Amino acid sequence: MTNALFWILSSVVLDIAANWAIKRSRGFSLKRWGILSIVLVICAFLMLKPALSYFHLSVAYALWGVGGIVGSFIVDRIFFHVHLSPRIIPPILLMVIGIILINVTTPPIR
Amino acid sequence: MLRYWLFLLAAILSETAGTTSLKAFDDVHYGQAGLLATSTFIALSYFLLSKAVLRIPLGIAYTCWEGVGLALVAMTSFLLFNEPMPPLKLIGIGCVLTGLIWLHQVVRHSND
Repeated sequence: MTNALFWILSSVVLDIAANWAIKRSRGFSLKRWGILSIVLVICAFLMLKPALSYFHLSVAYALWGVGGIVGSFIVDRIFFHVHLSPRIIPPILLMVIGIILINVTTPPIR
Repeated sequence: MLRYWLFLLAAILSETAGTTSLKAFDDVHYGQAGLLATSTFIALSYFLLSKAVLRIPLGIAYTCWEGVGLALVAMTSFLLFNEPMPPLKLIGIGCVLTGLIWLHQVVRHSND
């Protein structure tokens, strides 16, 4: 379980890094940052796979998705100094509940 | 501003196509064709996302990308692969879409 959690955590970190890089690419006008971001997000997807030996895809994907969402808000605040109104919290929470519900009701691929 | 939401929508559609093709080509060349198609669509999706986050805050754009993408994949899986659609899943899709519209309203009013 520790191993699987490690893979999920690594995947989340790569995913957040990808989001940081995509914003730094300024709409892909800085191509290096854009390409770095795409490489990072594909690696993030690939790293999720080893976690599936322990977690169901639905659980792994929900943890990954919610981790990425929380991380992206933190990155935006710390690195890009974006301060958002607390009024966005209820709709974001509603979407997170939706994400978890869709994931836990999805059967494994095979 | 609408322009950036449309970029986000296009990014989400590309991600949905990517995830759906992973399932559609699951048996072709041991899933490698699916991986290639998925990677291409995800790359296109991130290119479009880069345009969207020029104006939409990163966390908001990513939540929509993740949530709406997932809701659409649930629908394509139901329509194309006969995956079950239990009531709880429908409620989940409803939560995501309601959250999206609510979020869009909040963002629009705080920007103007």
